[in-house]
Order: sequence, then C-alpha cells, then structure tokens
Amino acid sequence: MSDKSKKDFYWVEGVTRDAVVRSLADNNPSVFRNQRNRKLLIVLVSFLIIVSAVSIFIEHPKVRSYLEIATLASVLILYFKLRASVRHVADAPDELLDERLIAIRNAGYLDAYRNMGGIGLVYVLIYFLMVLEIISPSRPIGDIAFSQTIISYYMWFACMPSMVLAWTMPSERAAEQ
Amino acid sequence: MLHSCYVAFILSNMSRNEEAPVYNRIAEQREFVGMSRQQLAEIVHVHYQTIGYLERGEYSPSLALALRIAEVFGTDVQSLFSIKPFKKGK
Repeated sequence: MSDKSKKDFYWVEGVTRDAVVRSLADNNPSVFRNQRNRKLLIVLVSFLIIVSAVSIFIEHPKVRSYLEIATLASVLILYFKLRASVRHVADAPDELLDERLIAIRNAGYLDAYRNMGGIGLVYVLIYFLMVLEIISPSRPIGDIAFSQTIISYYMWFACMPSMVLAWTMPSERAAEQ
Repeated sequence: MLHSCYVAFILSNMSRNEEAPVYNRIAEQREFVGMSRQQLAEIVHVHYQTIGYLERGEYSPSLALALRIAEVFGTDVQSLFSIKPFKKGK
C-alpha cells in the first residue's frame, strides 16, 4: 500500500490503480461480502466453463457455436464479477496491497497452480479417452475442433486465482472499522 | 502440461507453515487513545481489515509493521506483542 509508483494501469496484472483502490476502500454492502454467495458464483463460473469445454461434443454446428458464444460471454462477465468479489486482490500489484493481502494473494496463487495442474490432468485424460474412442465414438477425433477446449482452459487460468481467493476468504465482518 | 501436474503433486505434499499465535494489545491501546481501526490503518499504511485481523490474532504482523504500530502508540514492540497471552489488567 505504498505510493512508490504512480502507474494508472497495470498491463501485466490487467487492473487499474483506481479500480483496486476503490475496491479495497469500498465499505458499501455487497452480496459478495458473504463467502457463501462467492462460492455460488464460483460454482456458476465453473459450470459455464465446463459446458464451454464439452460443447465440442455437440454435433449440430449451429447449436454448438451459439452455446460457445453464450458461455464465453457469460464467463467473461462473471470473470469481472469474480475479480471484484475479492476486491481485486488476486490481480492487484504489490504496491497497492498491504502485507496481509500480499500473503493471501500469494497463497492463493499456490493453490491456483495446484488446481490448474489437476484440471490440466483431467483435460489430458479426457483427450486420451477420446483418442481411444471411449468418449464420443460416433465422431472421429479428427473431426473435432479443440479451439473451444483450449479457450476453456485459458478461462480456468484467468479465473482460478480469483476463484481460490473467493472460496477461501472468510465472510467480511460488518462494522470492521 | 505434465510438468505442471508433477509440480502440483510435489507442491500438494508440502505442508503449510503453521505459525504460533502472536498475542497483542492493539485493540486495548487503540481504544485507550480513541482511535478507530480506519485511522490506525491509514497511519501504518495497511487495509482497515488488516487491523481487525491483527486485533483478533488471526494475522501475525511482520516486524516492520509491528514496529510501525508500536511507534504510533509510543510504546515498544514487547509491550504490544507477545508470544504468550497478556495478563489481564497489565
């Protein structure tokens, strides 16, 4: 929380100074101050990303493309909600956080890395099951475009740090000041 | 990708540091001088919730932060923080 740097936009982190400062100082009531509501948001985002990933199995091209666009747009909107629900701590640079928040963020990234390893393993397993024609035997693997699956993996990447913090951070107490 | 799975497996077997609690008299001192958490937070450059976490013993401060807080109350670190519970009335 030092003012060493006066950058307004943090390109690497993808946040603005103003957004982080406002978010951290925000004392207004919000549904996302409650851990249970944040967990519901995580479940919803996860469900949409999974739907996005498995949409490749839909054979009808028009239905598939509509579903891909709908899930992508929904996840994008909820991604910003997810970031805001943890006061942008997951994306904020060190200079805008205090030592406790930096520790929380860093611990969150460790868990996010572990989770991404697990999700990556699931993706690889599903791919091998498809190669062995255990999953989706009606469509040869060469006919399936995996772009949406790759995009869904990047969605997990983008959302995971905020997801971990939203899941682990306790509900905020009223009258903390 | 397999590398990240391997690293995730290794990391998952590493235990987190379980630190001993650090007791403090921040709330007592703050109330004594009539200061709000927000005011103290602004002086020591931390988020206002961090003061709440410190007071409840849910977060142990760094030495630098402990020194800054002690300076605000014009006292030394030992009389504000302890690894043993403070005796009441002292």
